[in-house]
Amino acid sequence: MTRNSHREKPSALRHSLDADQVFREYYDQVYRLGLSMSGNSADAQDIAQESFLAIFAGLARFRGDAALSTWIYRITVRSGTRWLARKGTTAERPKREAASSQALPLDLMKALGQLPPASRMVIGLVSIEGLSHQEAGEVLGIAPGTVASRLHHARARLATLLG
Amino acid sequence: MSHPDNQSAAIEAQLDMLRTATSGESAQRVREGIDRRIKTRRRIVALAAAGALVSALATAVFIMKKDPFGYFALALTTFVMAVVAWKSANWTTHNGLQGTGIQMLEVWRKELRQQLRHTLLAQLIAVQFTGLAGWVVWLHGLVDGRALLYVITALVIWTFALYQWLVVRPALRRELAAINDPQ
Repeated sequence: MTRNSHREKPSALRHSLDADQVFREYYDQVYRLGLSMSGNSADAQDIAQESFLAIFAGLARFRGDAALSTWIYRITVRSGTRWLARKGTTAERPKREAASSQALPLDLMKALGQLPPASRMVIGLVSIEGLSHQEAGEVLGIAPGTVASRLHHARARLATLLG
Repeated sequence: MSHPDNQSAAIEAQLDMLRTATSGESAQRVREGIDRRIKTRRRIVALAAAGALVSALATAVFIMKKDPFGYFALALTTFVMAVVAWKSANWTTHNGLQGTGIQMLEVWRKELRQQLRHTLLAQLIAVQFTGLAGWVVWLHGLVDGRALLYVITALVIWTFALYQWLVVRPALRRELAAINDPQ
């Protein structure tokens, strides 16, 4: 899995889109974005499952107008947003599987869970996945300046929560 | 109080742990879960298609016998089954996700509003089925196979309609609010 695969040209992949290959190549990215949105591994897996169901269902229709990774990130953002809406709260902090999350920074996960969903998304896309403000803006449908502003506020809030 | 530079470094260190977080064995679990969900969806499509076919054949038989049950009750059942089969088979992500970011948000909003409207369909069908069930009971009495079938179906549809009203609609509204006012 390459960290910069979101910068691939869509034409490079559109002729060889295969569900298993897409799953192998993008699972880690989808899972990490799910982690940053949900704050725990079990829920990140739920988000990943929802996301890949949608990805597989839409793969045959993928035209390549946007990069494959952008499309996949968008689906993950949607699945994560839906997941948060179903939970009925934006401040859900369960640690259902703390034992299996020992490799994860639990303080950060807890703090992320206290941020608004929009802030978690920019942290996930920019600070964790390494997208530029422009790319994150394209995924989220907002201006790069808005991404920068949300990121600034999110990091300030994280500093307060972790301080 | 910690120094801002130290604080920033501490956050970076924790973010770095997340950047390198591995999914471990979860990929296998998720993949198996997806396969199960896809199989379930296929079964739903097959069952609904078979139900629509049986119902359509029964409708034809009842119509040939000039039984009003065929005109109304079974025709509606066929329609509902066909809609379920079609919706399950054509479940996919919208192409709008492939356009620009702004288009994506518009498509997302549009889909959510559409889904909100669709939740009202369950109540409409529930009311119709209740009427039908009452009609069938009035025609044949409660101790009748067809009447019992329609009463049970009406109850199932009402349960689904209540679930849509009490769980699905509030979740869709929250999702719409999250897009419209992300902060």
